[in-house]
Amino acid sequence: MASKGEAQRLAKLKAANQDKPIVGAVAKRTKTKGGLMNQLVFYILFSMIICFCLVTVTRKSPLMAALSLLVVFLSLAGVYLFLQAPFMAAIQLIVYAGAVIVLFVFVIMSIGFDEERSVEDLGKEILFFAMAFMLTGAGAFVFHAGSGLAYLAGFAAMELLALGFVILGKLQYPVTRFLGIAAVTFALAQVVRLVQMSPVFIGKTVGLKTHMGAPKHLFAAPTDGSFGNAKAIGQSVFTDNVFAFEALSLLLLASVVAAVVIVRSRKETKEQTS
Amino acid sequence: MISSVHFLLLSALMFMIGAAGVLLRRNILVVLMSIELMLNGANLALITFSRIQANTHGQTLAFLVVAIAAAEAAVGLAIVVAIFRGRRTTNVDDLDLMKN
Repeated sequence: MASKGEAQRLAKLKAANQDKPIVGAVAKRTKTKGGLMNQLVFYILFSMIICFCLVTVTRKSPLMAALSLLVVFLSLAGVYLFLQAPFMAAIQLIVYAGAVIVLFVFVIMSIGFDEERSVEDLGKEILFFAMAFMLTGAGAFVFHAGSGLAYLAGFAAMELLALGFVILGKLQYPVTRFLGIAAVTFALAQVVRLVQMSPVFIGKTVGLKTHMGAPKHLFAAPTDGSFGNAKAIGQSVFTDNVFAFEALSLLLLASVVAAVVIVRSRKETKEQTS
Repeated sequence: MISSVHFLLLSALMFMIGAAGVLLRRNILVVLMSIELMLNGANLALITFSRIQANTHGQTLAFLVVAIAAAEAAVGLAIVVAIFRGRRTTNVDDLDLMKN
């Protein structure tokens, strides 16, 4: 019975959006399109996201954390474009980079930001991190082409270099700190590469099949460019997920009211009620 | 050629860094930011799986998650402001009102 219901659901789904392939009915599979340039951009975004995540979590100043969080959100919007999700990329920019970060910075400023360091220093530091991570992303990309013994030798050398620079980095010289961070992220990229070279991944690339009849690490090939645009998402939200949408509108209303009630001070509340 | 493993790896790393931030940091604002990081990591996984299956529903779910994250940030920051007014602190260790 369950399988019959599932078949009916799939048939209905197919009728509803004929131009889009559905689960299990995907014939052709590809990796993401594009050549070396695309890969370069992706790996730069990759390393920038990881490193600015680390900056967000480790910095003492909440303002620094908020600004590096902004960089994470902007880079993530770029990654969404690689996944053919232009609508989600736009939402990421508008809601996260536009609204949530502004809210955070506003609160940080209103409850006082008692750091001895000035905003100029923060800007310098952000620039410093951005440069380090763009460089390491590019380095990881170049290294991506290597393989075999040369790769392993390079990996060992990078690890030693990273260790050395981390030790030197404690000496507070900007140059050694820069190189230390660069080397650490480079080593991280190499660990990723090592994992990729492990037997499990090699098995996948030579053609281990999943139950869907395609290698696991490949993407389904969408039939046209309409996948993930505003029309497709809108159709999905307002037909199949309309209950979730309505529940969400209630939640947003509740959260707006809650925020206003919580922030309003007790004094004001007393004055209004009496 | 970028395989989907890399996108999922990125999402897992973001989630782990965010979780570490929630557990280890004492500043309540940074804890909230780490929660945003975790939500973004989950969102990236949803969108990647949506792309793997060529199915729009994953992106729809990610869209709903974004809206919920915005609501969460609004209420969370309102609570932070309210707490700061009363107690002049943003350290989570000082917030032991429910203790005893």
